[in-house]
Amino acid sequence: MLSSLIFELPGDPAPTWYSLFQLYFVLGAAIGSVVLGLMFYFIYKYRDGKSNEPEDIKPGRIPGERSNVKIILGFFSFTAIVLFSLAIYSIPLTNYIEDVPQGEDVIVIEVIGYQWGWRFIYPNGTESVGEVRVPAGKTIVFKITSLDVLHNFKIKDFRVGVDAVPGAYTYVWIRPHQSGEYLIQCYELCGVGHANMVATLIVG
Amino acid sequence: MGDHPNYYSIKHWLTTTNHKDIGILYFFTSLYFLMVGGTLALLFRLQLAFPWMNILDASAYNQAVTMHGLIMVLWAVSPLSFALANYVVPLQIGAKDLAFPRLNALSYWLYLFSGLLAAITFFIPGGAPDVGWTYYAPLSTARFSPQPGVTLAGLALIMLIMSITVGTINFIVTVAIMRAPGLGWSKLPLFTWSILFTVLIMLFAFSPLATGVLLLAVDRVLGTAFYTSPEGGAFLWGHLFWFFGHPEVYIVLMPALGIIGDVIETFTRKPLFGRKYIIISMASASFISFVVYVHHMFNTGMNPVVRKIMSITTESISVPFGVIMLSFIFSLYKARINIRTPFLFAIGSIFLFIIGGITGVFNSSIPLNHLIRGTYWVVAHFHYAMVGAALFGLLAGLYYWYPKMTGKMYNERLGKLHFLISFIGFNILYLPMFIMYDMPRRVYTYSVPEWIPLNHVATMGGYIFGLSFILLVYNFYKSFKAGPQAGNNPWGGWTLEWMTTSPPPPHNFDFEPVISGDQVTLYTNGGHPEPHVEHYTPLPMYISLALFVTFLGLIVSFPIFILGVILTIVVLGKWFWSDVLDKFVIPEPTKSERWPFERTTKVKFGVWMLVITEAMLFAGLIGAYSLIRFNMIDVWPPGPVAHDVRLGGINTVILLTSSLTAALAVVYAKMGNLRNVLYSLLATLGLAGLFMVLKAVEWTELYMKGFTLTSELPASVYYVLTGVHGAHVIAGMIAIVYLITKVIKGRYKPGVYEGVESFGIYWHFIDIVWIFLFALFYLL
Ligand code: HEM
Ligand SMILES: [Cu+2]
Ligand SMILES: [Cu+2]
Repeated sequence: MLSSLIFELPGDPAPTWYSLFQLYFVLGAAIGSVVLGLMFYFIYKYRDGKSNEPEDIKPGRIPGERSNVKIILGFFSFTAIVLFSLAIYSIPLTNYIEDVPQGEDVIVIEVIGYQWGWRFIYPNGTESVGEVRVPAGKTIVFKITSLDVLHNFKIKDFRVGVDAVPGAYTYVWIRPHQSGEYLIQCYELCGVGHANMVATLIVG
Repeated sequence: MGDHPNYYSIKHWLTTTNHKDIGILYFFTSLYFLMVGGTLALLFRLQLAFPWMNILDASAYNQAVTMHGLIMVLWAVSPLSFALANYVVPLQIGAKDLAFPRLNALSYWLYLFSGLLAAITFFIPGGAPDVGWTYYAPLSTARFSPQPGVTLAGLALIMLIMSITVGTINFIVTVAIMRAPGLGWSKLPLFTWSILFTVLIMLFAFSPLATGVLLLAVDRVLGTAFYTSPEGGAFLWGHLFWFFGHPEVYIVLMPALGIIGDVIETFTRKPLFGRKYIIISMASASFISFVVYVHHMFNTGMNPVVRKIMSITTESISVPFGVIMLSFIFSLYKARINIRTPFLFAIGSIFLFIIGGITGVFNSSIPLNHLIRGTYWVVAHFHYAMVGAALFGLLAGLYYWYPKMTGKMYNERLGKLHFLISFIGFNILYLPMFIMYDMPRRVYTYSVPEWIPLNHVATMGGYIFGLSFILLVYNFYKSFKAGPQAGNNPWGGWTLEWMTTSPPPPHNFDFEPVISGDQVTLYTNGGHPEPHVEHYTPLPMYISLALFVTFLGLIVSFPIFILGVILTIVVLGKWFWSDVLDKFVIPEPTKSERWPFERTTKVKFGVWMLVITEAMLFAGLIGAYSLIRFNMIDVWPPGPVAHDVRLGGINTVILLTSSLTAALAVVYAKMGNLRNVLYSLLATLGLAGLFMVLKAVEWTELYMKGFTLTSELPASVYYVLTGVHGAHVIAGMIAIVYLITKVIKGRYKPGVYEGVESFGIYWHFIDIVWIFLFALFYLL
């Protein structure tokens, strides 16, 4: 299953993201297939020629109510319980992914999105365009803004992303384990150069 | 009026006001836009088949996706449901037509010309908008996208909103007070219910969009800075757009749910399981749809608490949908299922909606959303919902009512084949996109090798899906020409539309359906159907054409703009004059079921609905004011400093007095004292005029002081809000002139005071708005 992939993930918070995705996926797939399976079973079982049920729909007659409050309540509680459990379960994970880590050993790199590229400003003030180098094993916080229009800063292999908003700061953090090169790309339409608004994250 | 043009003549179709004709016009027009949008999609799918394709460059690609999205959502799928709604809803409720047939024609023509206005952007310098259908600011502002196409499509949107406003009011009034005698709410077919919810959502959702687009247009044309300054900017647009945008997706979906309900009932020969609860669920989903929209802004870094709340509301909106879907499925239990094309499409729609809904729950999780926002996962999700659920549901409806509309039966085998191919094609097209949950959308090319085979497969699916529609067109055309006669009720349905001929006569029923208990009785009136006058008028078409010319002229050439304005004024004048002369009178239905609205009339009810949607417009504007002021809390000049409280106060008193005289007019109208009605109206007109004059003085003074439209954001906000209000005052003054003319012309009989009363409602509303504005700008 998907969990085998976790060990190939390049760093945090990707595993957390995956475990959550996996939970949603397993639940969604299970519920979806049971419900759809039931639908096909009914269609098969009660198809014309096989079904002896009487016809209750008659022209010129308004059909009566056909419901069973208990069953409806069942539908209601079932969906409500599943969804609210998921919602509640997500909250600490949301906080984990969204809360910006702080402390001495956190490296804060400022990211400026513009039409069409990414500029990175390291804590010591040096700048680079189109690539950013970070050490493995450290927590990196990207402090993101935009010079012009909305962009969206994503490092897909780390499963993180956030908008780059003109006049405001947004944050993502990662903690790379594996050295390598990873794609940084813009995920919000920002003009003709959007598709090529990429940069490289170099861990090493 | 007297002579009816031949049904097959062009004149008939340009001037008809019959709801069935309008439905057919909507059908062909939405089919046309479906083909335009589909062709664009096939183009950019080809471009994406391999990363090295060279069919569209970045700019052309962006134009194609933008126009694809806009056209499909606003000019194709939703209008297709209104094709069916127009045709079927009056039949289902046993009415002869909609409440306001001429306004219905106006909705249609505004829709057509607004669509053409949007499509024409491809042919003007700079091309079509390329900023995404979501029109995100600041990208959509003149600074970053100066090409006129962006403005023109925005104006097209405003024109479409006019069409939608008129249409929603019409449908709400129709369903509320024109039902056949005895047809209580609990007996309405699910499709009529779903259309009612659709138009109710529209009533509240579209005017905030109008606010958003208006501010954008003012930015682009007059140079204000609502969306370029960080105090408004991306967030202002985000809130205004998605407050509309999320409900919009339910607007697209809702009619399909209704169709599925009707189709399931007919083809399973059983009442829907949990019908009542399905309707309650639809109502609650409609309501909740207004409090989830921040899930489109999870990535913007806005307030985390608000985001968490909206994450939970988003997940909770799936609960009513869960109940609806499970009830549909349970309706199949112990049924007697007749598997025909409409049923297959309905089942297909449920199938695809369940996938679309479950993947929507993924989106609503904030951590998951951080990755999948802006990716093909979202594209797949909403296509499963909008194309899979909504369009398949509408196709079910098209096949279902085709025999009613044409009197002919379509070819069943071709219909099933169409279902099979389109269903398979659809899944080949969109399933791979879920696997591409990390590929950005709206890119004309890509570099990651793993994405190539998936894109390639999707493109093939796209062509299978797109081409499958040839079967539908061929089938419908062929069967119309040479299909077997369908008879009145080929499916054995219970709803009223099946109790009249196929196609129905212009007046819908040769008899009058009356419902008592669960029994529908047909009263033939001793063989004499009630007289029904068909109205024909070219005015709705002319007005829409004139607006089209005006908007186009605004962008491409000033003389054309002037021509358009003159045309608009002339046509509006003609419309007014024909109303003064009572050329187009449709009697109030007397016997219809209208609980709990017995005490109102069509026009009054319509004006109330207008007030609601206008209130939402001002709510949008005041929302914009609040957001901007909140962001400028330290620098915003306090009201009494920036504005002349004394002058504003005098104006407030003047307007309130005019409310009093308007109320007096109603009292005198009720008493039948026409002379005093005239005096009260004249006084109201005078006071309104005085208000506007003082307003002008005030504006001029402020301008002299350098407080101009573009000088600073608080000034822009002030001028736009008071300007929009002023425009409403002027509209009210025009209404007064109309009423006065009517009184002078002796067109008012004592005891008929609906017009004056409706005007009164509107006028009080405008005064109340002013009180808010006075407080917000002058006092706070
Ligand atoms: C039933 C439960 C549903 C849930 C929980 C849900 C949830 C969501 C969420 C959270 C998003 C935001 C994704 C993002 O952009 O980051 C989204 C996007 C979207 N959904 Fe749904 N959705 C549901 C049903 C529907 C339906 C019925 C439709 C249409 C008929 C629809 C159409 C859309 C569209 C058009 C977008 C994306 C708009 C854009 O960014 O261009 N959804 N949905
Ligand atoms: Cu971009
Ligand atoms: Cu939404």
